[in-house]
Amino acid sequence: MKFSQSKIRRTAIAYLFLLPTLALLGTFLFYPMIRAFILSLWNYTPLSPENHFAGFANFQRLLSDSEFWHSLKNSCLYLIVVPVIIVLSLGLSLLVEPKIPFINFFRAAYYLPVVTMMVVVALVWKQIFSTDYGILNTILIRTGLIRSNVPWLTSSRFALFTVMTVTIWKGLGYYMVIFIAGLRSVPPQLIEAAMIDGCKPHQTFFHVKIPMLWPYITLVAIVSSISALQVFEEIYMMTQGRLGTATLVFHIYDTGIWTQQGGEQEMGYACAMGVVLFLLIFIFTFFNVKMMGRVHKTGEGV
Amino acid sequence: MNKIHKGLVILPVLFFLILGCGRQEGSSPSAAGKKEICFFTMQLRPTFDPYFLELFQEFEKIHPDVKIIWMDYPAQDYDTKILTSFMGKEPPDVINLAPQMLPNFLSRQTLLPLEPLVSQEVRDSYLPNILKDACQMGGKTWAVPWYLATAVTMCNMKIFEEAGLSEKDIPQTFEQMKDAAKIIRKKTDKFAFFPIYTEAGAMRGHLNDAGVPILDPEGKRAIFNTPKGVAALKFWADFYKEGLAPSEALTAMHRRPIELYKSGRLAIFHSGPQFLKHVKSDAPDVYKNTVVRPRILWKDYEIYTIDVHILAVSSKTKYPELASEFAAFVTNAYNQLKFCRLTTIIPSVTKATEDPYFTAVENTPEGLARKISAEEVKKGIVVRTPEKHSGKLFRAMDQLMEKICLGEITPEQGLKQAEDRWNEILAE
Repeated sequence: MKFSQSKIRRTAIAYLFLLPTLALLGTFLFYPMIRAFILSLWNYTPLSPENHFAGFANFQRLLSDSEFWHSLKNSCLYLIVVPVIIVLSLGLSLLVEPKIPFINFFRAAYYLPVVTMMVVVALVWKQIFSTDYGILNTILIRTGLIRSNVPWLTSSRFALFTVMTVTIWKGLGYYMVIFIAGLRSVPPQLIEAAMIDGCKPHQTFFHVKIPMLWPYITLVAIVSSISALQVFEEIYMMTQGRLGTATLVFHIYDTGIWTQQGGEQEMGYACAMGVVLFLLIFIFTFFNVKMMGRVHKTGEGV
Repeated sequence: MNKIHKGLVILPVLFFLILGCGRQEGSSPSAAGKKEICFFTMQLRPTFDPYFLELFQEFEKIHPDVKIIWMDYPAQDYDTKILTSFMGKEPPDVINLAPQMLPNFLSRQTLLPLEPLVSQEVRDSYLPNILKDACQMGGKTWAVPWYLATAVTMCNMKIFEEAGLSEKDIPQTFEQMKDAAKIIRKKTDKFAFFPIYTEAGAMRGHLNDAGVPILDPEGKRAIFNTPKGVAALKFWADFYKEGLAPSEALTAMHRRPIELYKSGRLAIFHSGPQFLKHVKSDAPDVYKNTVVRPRILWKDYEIYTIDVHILAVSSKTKYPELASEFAAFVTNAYNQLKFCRLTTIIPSVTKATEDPYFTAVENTPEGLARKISAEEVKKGIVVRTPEKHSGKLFRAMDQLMEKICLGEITPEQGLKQAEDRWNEILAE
């Protein structure tokens, strides 16, 4: 095979363009990732004189660590937000998709939580959900819907689910935009044809739009489940992992970095948890893509 | 093609921009070859800026070749930030710590023992019990004591009046406090008291208040599982279960009751008197109605625990002599007294505590709080932090306390489990 000179030049230039990003990713993503894998085999606490290679001892310790399993369970439980987000954001996108006056205002309004800092959002919601001082309980009691205050964030039964609602509320706008793009990509001829064939609106929705949206639904499912597995800020700001609400990423932070209340920064051990999380996300994404791909294909066949 | 050429120009520019970002940090202005002493403090700026700037100037006058660099961090996640800074290029030289942070810093060999850096004479000038219990571990002195505080009771009389109570009903014992809390809860929409249940092993404090010893003298075994301990836990669990404490008290940190007191939604606030200053500046209306009394105690047991701030010297310092001299300078009688005049804190130098300033009654909440606190310090003790695994020990207590308050386990079970867990961790 022969390359013309201009082709080589082009390739070189293309690589040159890729270089800065690669350098950034390499420094801030790949290098820390590799370090984390190495550290997971160490008994490592920053600055400690007792750091030493530990082999797979950290992973062995994980097996019998009830706090780790509990946080892993919570992280998996957090995946509940995924179907809720898909349904709600799809519904929302149907509402704001048509071109009617002032619709841009609504789109912007629903998107606003996405660009707001999570820390701020979580703080405000924490006030709203406050059991004795929160506005939510006040409203619910005044309207007679409940008799006594609901311990939204102060009981182990509700706390995690309360935090989930904030994640959903904040994420909706982002996925809504993806679905708007998806809806725009559905060729109008298809819908027209379906309508001429006598399809009712709900039939066009379920049999034309939804199959056409599968790639978007896949994308949203994957992206939202990865971010659900990685949830951290909401937990950190709203419950600090108390009342059994620690999710895996929070638990990793708590074990490896936080020294609040005398935490010992067992970074090696935390990295071992990180490796487990990495595998979990990897496997999860893999199956998600596979499964959705299959459904998508059968969808196409219809 | 033209576009690609433009890109070629932009690329290196971008590249150097990225490189440039990293360069600035290392080259901080080293003021003409002066010896820099980096001083880290916990949440003192900007309130005390004038005091400290003057203090630094005085030290720099004695040592013209020294420049003090002051870094102040908020209390939230303070120790995480300081420990992280040890891994960076500019670790601190002198650090403001709380005694319970010592184990974490010692296990990483980040502090210098102060014998013989700080002379025997200077070490003897501090209150001996404070130096021993707050600054010494494993037979060595790791810090010099700085300012002290004991809890006093601040009461918002407006809420008391709303509930039909008066100054004579201000509780002196926890038993009385509970009665008052019931009345206030019934007659107003506010809470009387906000106990801290699960911050840094708060259970320890509740046990300690009731006169239950935590560890045996060797620090190897937990000995708090006693009938008295159960009774104390039961009291606080019932207090929560009966709805006398706000629901969020279960997970709240000590900042929360301050906020609530300042916003006029809490009747009794039990804390170091230095917070009076915040009440005065942030909530003048509440301050106007505030009455100060000695801390609340159990009917049959008198104890005063002292909160201590200490100054330690970093093992990474280039100038151990200067750094320790600076720590001693900041904590000497003269400078501590000056600091005490700015807010309601008590000095840790024996000579300074004898100053008439702390005994003369001044008819303001602060004046009264100062007098009460100074008296309490004389009778007070510092609760010693376990030397190893304090984080795990505290966490075990906090988690069990949560369960006790939620009624998932009884106080008896909770205390038994806490003791077992502690002995397990202590044996590691």
